[in-house]
Amino acid sequence: MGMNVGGGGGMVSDINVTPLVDVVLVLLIIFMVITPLSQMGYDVNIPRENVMATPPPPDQQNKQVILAINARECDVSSPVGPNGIRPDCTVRINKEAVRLADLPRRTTEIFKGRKAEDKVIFLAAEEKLNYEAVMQILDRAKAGVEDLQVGIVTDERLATSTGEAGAAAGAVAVPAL
Amino acid sequence: MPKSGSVRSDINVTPLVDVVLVLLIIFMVVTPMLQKGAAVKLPITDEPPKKPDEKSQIIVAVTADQTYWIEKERMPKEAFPSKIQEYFDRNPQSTVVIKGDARLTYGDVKKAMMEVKKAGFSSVGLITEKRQTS
Repeated sequence: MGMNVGGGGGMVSDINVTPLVDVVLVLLIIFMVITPLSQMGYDVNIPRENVMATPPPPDQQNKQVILAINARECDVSSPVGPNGIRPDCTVRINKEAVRLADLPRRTTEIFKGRKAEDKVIFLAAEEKLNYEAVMQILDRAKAGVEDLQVGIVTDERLATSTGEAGAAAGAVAVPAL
Repeated sequence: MPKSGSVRSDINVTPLVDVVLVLLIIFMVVTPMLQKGAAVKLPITDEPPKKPDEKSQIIVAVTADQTYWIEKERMPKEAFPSKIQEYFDRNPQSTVVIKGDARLTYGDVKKAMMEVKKAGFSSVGLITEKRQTS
């Protein structure tokens, strides 16, 4: 009488999740270990030829964005500690002084509405500066803009000219990409 | 009240712990071997973009004492230009990434970039490490 299917030593009708949990946990651990190992970095365009002599055509001049870092306004000659760069550090975007804290916001403003191929920032840093510091500043500049390309300015004088004299204003020595 | 031969309802964790421990040991052994190129103290930045490593990638490392490495081969500064040229001639399509030590100056790394450019490559990747948020 009745439908007592689960008899005395009745069948277990649950799914056995233990192997599933096993596998999932192992996968989780594998990915936890591998993720920090993946390679990260910045793509940088380097000019192919030194076409320094001629300034770019006028319509390109106001499009170009040059990020200049000089040792006088942002003294990062020694390796940066865990605290990062001093907050009073100032860099220049097309001669305009920008505090490091404002850099992401400023680059967002500058590159807003630009086409993808115009989203290029040229990095001119003084050579005696610390590499890690320069990369951190570059990181801040890129933080404001998605898919911002980076170019390298070979001429170091661009890093130090702050524009007061206006001498180098026209002779921007950045080759077209 | 459980019967004498009652079913034990705990999960048996022993095999799980077994597997996990073995994996832990495997990774502890393998991780130091996974590092490619010379060991350098990479610069740390906040939001580095992912840079998937391709098969044809050439890793150039510049250590703090300014010795250059291409892949696993160590060389003095002077030998670097001709060596990287060789790599370009063999496969111009390959990409170059530079692992520069954080203690170097920007000029040192720039020099390496200029040599890479002279060899014929038009872009390099500058490898950094993501800051651990903890």
